[in-house]
Amino acid sequence: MKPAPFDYACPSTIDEALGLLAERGAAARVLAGGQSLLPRMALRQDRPGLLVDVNRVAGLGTRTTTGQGLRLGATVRQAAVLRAGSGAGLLDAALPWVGSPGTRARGTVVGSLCFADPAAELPTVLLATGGSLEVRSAGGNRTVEAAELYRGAGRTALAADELAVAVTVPLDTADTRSAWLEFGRRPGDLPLVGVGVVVRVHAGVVDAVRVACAGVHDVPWAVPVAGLRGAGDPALAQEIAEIAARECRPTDDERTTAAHRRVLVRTLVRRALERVLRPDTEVPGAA
Amino acid sequence: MLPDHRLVRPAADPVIVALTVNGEPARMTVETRTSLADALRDELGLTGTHVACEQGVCGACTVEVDGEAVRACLLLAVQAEGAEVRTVEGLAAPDEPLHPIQQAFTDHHALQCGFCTPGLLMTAHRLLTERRGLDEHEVRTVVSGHLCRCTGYQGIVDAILHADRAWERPDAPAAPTPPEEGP
Repeated sequence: MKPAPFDYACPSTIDEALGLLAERGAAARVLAGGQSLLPRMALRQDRPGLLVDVNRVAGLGTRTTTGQGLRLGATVRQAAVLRAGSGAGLLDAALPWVGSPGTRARGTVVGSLCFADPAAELPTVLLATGGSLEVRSAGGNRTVEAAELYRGAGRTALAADELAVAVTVPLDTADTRSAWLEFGRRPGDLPLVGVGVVVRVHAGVVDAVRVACAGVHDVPWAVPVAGLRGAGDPALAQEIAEIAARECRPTDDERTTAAHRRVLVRTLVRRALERVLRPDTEVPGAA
Repeated sequence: MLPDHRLVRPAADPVIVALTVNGEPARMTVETRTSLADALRDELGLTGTHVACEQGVCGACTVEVDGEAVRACLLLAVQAEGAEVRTVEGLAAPDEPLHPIQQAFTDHHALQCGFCTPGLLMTAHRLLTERRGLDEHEVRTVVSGHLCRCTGYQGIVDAILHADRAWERPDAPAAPTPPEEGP
């Protein structure tokens, strides 16, 4: 099918884009890569009155390293990050699973984060890495942490007049270990469940464990792993996997059952942690 | 701040898009909602670009835009202003021999009905322009972004691997990047 008619604007500055978003409010949508929005419009699931195409906005296509990590502008393509490597192991591990090479050539990292599909890889990667989104509106700038970003399937904390201009993902240190695993029915499909883990180890002691799951709730879900203690061996991976399977609240949908998702959570969390934990690491009350 | 309404192209107004297609300047008159795939077919008569799912799944409409193989159904024609586009018609003129990738598809029975073929050719063209010395796993990963309901893909994989060896191209780097873990 073809999209319903819409007005189109292709501003060249952030201020022009923000002015249009402020005026049209919820009737306007931001067009970056378009690899999720345009299919929804073709299926008439979305009918924006105005598309604000940010692809020619100056300054949004840049990739820089800041004190907080890797900063990717709103129009940096998934393929470009995959090709060059990001320095954030979990992002690099998850990107080959995002869409297909043809969609990654246009699709942007920030766009996928804003689209907020709860089964998509990148929102869960942002949560597991502890990244943040840089947001602008006519009223000013603000930073939205990953844990505060998602409000439901397809819904974020961004107001209709706000534009996400960049994402920042913490870079790995020498002590960072990460893994992404997912299960889906076909290549290119969104996974039924995806799991990202990031572990930081200092002198044999694990000082951070983050485990996040896609496809389980209506937002990316962080497995509650606070207060764990013990050696970083397969038993700990098993323990966290059991916590994840017990605490998750998946639902049945047209793609699979809640029971199936729970089994996938248990298995994928365990396997992902087995990849990054070593028997010689200790976990004193990891948060 | 007040929005600049001169930036907005109303849905009802036709838009003239100037771009380069297969090395020649071209102009298309489109609606804001017209996809590049539809514009190439309906405005320029380049019907080699096939349109099937119109939602980015099947890959049949793949063309090269500014050196990237993209879904032409998921790019608005108005977004292609000033772009360099290559379609399957740009691989070899009717009076020229087939492009080595096209010849490989013929030799390896990589098509039957041919509907998916133009998209696969453009994806393969982009892949082989960038790289040489591909392994089968990588080819299968890339091909998985295209739906073919005739061949079972074996012929397509064989053809691309053969074209990788047969196509004489100076620019593609010889060293393959390490295989990614992925689907």
